Amino acid sequence: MLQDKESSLFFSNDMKSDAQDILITNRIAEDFLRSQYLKKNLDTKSLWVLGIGTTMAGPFIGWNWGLGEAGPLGMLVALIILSFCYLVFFLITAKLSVLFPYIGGPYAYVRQGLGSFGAYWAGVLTCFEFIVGTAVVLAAFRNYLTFFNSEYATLLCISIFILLLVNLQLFSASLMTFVHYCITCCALGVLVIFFLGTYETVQSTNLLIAAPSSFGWQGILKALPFVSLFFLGLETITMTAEEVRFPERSMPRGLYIGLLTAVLISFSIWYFTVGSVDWQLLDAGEFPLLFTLEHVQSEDQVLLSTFTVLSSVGFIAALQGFINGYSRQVYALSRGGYFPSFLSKLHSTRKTYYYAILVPGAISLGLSYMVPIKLLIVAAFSSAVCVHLLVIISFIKIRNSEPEFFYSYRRVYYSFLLYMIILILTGILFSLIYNYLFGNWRIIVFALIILNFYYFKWSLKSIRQEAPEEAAAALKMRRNRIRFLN
Amino acid sequence: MEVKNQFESQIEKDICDLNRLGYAQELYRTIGGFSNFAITFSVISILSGLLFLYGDGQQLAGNWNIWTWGVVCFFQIILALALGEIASIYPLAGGVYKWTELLSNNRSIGNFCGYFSIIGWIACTAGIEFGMGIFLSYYLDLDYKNPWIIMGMTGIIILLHSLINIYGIRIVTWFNDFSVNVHIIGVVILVSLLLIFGQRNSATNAFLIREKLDGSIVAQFAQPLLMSAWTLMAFDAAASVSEESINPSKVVPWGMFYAVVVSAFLGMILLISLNLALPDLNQPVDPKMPLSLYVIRQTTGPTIYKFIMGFILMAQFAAGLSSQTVLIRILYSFSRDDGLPLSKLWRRVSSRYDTPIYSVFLAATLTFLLSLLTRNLYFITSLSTMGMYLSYVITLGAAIWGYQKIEENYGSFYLGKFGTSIRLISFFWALFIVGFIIFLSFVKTDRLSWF
Repeated sequence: MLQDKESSLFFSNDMKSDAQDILITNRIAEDFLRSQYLKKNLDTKSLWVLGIGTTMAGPFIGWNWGLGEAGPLGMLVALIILSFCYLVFFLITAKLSVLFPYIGGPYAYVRQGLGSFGAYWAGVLTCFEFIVGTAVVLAAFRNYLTFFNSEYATLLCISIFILLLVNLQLFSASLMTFVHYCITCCALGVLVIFFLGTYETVQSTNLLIAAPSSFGWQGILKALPFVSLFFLGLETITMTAEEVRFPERSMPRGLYIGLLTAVLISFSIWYFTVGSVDWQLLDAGEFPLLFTLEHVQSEDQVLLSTFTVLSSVGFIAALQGFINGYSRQVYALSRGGYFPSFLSKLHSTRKTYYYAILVPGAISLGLSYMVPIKLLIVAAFSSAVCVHLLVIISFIKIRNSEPEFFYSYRRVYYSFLLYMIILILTGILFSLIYNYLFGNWRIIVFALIILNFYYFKWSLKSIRQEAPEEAAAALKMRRNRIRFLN
Repeated sequence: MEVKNQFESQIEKDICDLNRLGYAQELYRTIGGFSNFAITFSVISILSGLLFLYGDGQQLAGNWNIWTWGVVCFFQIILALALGEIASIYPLAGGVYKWTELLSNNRSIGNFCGYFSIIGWIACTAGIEFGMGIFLSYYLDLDYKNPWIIMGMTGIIILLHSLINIYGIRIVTWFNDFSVNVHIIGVVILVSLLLIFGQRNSATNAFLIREKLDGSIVAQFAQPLLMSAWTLMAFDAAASVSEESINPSKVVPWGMFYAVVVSAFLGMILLISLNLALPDLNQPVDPKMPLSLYVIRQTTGPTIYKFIMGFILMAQFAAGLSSQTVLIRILYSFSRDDGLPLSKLWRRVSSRYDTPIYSVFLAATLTFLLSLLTRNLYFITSLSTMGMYLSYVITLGAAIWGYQKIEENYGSFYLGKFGTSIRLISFFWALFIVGFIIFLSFVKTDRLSWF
């Protein structure tokens, strides 16, 4: 029992939580944070790099498969839908990341609104999204290297991946952010070269071709997973709040600038690529940008050679971004007690979470070999949709229970907008299950059972209330109870 | 907290030093060591100056232009050391003119030096902005032979520079830091592409003299040397932002020194790669393009060429911005000492932006007028070289005369027993440059044909 009730964060006598009675002192929480302290050295530019770097592989692989489903105009509609969904999601997370600046990101936000079970699923789905996303990039990178050097492709791909994993452990976050910045800028430079090579060859007649009438909205929904490659992984920005020096300023800016950049890149690539080449030819290949350049600039061998080689940096930037994403989420869940505790061990001086980097990395590597790339893309996108749904629903609950946090932002958070987005996302989810995942229902059901069993059997009993995400949720609960009692 | 206190006390110390020299702190002191280096490095701008003048060096001395670059680098490093030592003692916004006044104890000599410095910086800024106007017109496929189109482009560039300078030194600093990245990345990309795709000549041929030389070897060697001297000058830019730098006694001289050294190194590898990629000049060369751009385009193809031109234009923009920033500080400093007509107006500092905005207008107007009235890049660059090196001659002369002041009051950057010889070598080097420009003006020389 506590000696001094005033110094305790929570009273245990007559309060109930959805886990068990909690009794945390300020001292316990501070000791915990001291041992789990992450260096605060990120700013707006770092967040932008993290977000955009993670999406850098998307333009180079796979988005063109959406063209076969929906045609050029259908793909444009799909882009608009996804941009809108991400905009609303980022509007919400920009506010939540300031209110709850924790490394858990989606897990932390859902913990506030939907309790530990919702938080567990948000965290697991985010981990899944990023681990599978890493597998997507690995598989695509391997295919890309095979495309122009089949002999050493696999060895080169695995070597680069392991090098990244090792460097992220060995070196500080600030140094790796600088490296990521350089690689991301190189990747953006490659895109600029692509735009310069194709801007004279765009024809409006190529752009205005609609999909055959038999596809319609179904085609657009089928195209969404592939179009999502332009945005997949952007959510990694939400998981950096605890490492940002001034989260109230940097987090919203990083999110909005990152999203704006991703939207600009996606629409530009659609315009220059689809405008230059017949969409039916484009649908067939795996590397749309390279295919387009070969088609329109076949005589410029310097351009083609330079572009082919330098495109690799896009994959490397994306790999680093996805590794950053899953490692942060795994670390947060382990710190909260949902995952085994060894995953949140920090190096004593470098403060890097090495197990959280290595273990999921091995899983990603395995997945990249075992699962077809299209299925991986669909799986990652499905997880992203579920996470977005959970965060938005949680946001609505938080807004209803604590409206004083949102008075300044009333117009942005109209209920109509939020419910519309929930409807759209639910529709997308059902479409994904129907079109892609229904054939694998046994695996999905099995995974659901296992994960639920793990939660109720182990996670629920291991939740650590001194973790910042859990402590903040308990504090909110106490605030609401006091309000209710009053 | 401890680091923050040290930081604040350094600024307080710098303000005290400025007060000791007789001036109040009016400008916003925020520039660190790297940013100081970045301003100087941006003004030197090898991506714009060297690429621009490469063809002239080739025309006059063939592949020997590499050796002229080497000679100029050596002497400019010595010059940077000499000026750096003085900057360390007198970290003032006026730069060379204030140093001359304080070393010689004679205001008239200081003002005399200052007028040449101002002319040099006006011409330097005009040269960069006008040169960028030409490049930009060519890049956008406009009629770059039409002087009014070039003047229009130049006017837009000057306007943009002025707006950025009005809104504050922090934006300028950010731009200059960005410019360092642009230069280094641009040179690395360009050199890599030239070496991978463009090697047409052997390594020994890259350094050989042209078979036929017109005129004496000395004259043929000295003219391209002037081209290198124009590129690798104006590094006293770091000194002109001393009153906005933190710990200027240390960061300004080191900024100047490192800017010259890094520019020298990058310039050398760029020249070597260009020489290695040089096509057979007996074949018809596109007369519309500068030779360096012709080599790049022949090697990399039209698309990559456009990409690299983007880097070059960004580098030129940053160079012009830094140059205008320095010119504004010199005008501000000069008017602070009533050295200009209507000084009261030019020295006013905006309370909102912490910048001398009337000096911005003056600098913009003067550079535009010079570009408009001459519309001759060769003339502008010669004027710039002449003005700056004359001011260096006067300053170094005062430093040699007042060497005891340097030895008694030396700052963080002190050359010790080598100081006298370094000052003497610098003095004669600057005198040689000035003398050669005057000599050339009396000798008939070919004007560059493509502007």
